[in-house]
Amino acid sequence: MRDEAGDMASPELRQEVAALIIEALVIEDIAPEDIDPDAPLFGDGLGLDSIDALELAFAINQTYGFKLRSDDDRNGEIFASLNALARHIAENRTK
Amino acid sequence: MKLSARIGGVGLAGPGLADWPALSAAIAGAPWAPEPGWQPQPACLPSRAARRLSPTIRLALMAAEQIGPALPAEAAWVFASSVGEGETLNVILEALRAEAPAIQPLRFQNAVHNAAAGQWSIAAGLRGPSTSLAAHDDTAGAALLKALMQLRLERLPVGLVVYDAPMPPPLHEKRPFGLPLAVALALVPEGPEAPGLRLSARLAPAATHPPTPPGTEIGRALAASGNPAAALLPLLELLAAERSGVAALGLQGTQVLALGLEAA
Repeated sequence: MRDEAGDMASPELRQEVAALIIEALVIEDIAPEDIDPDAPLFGDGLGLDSIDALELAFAINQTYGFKLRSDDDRNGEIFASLNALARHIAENRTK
Repeated sequence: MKLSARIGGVGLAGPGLADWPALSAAIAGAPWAPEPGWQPQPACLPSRAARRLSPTIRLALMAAEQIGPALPAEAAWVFASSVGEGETLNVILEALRAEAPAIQPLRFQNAVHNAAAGQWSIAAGLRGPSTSLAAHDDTAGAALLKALMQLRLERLPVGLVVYDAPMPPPLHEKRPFGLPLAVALALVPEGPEAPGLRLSARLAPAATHPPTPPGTEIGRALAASGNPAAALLPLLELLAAERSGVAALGLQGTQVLALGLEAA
């Protein structure tokens, strides 16, 4: 459970990010609401790969106005799950 | 020097022309109209993997996969396209014009002329060499010359894919093609067991051997589209009819590639 300091993404944003993942990566067999918010996005969970990571970073930049860098040491945390990614977006978005 | 090969298979992709039998039928007189909104869909890739590729690469793969079964994994491949990834280039140039330029990674990854050859190698698990070339309106002649030379010098079967797709504006105005078209030929060394019609080729002066115009309605329609891949139509017309004959393909300079096709 997160504290109330504002670093918890809203359910609306989480849903929006889930829809962005599905749309940007053209995932046809999964609906946004089917993404387990705490499951890993890459590897075993949603099964995304490194090309998906680049595409997703591009889509996030276009939609939320900030850059995700491929050499960021925190990428493991940022992309750990839908919840983690939505939180990171909530903290860094400029639009 | 005379070059020769057997044609072990033909592949084709274009609007309203899903494969070689479809073009053969149209050459024989079946009605044809370009299918509006047609999108190339290669069968060799899951749809999500195919969506990672540009429409131009999908077009080339759609023709390539039709001749794949006629060639071993060690075959050489020649991919030839006049404008190659022009559609991708147009997208990237538009992105660079934006206030905060950002290029989609998949577009960047496929922005090179050998993107189609590379993606086909991966999709088909190939181990042979590949060449990607361009020669403006004479792309088809240059590519067939390269393929036959490679077959002769390296004794390798060669998969040839000649393809071009229209670019969006503004690049379209610089080099307008009316429709996308890809033609693939499986060229195998001659031998007692070799299948297919026999193709021979030599250089001849363009002054005495002007490039052959197509002789059928569909051939003329495809040539009129301006797509350089349509230069192969006179050869395809002979192949469709399984008929002996000659055709000349334009090359840059003063020579043509004079082709002869021998039916069994």
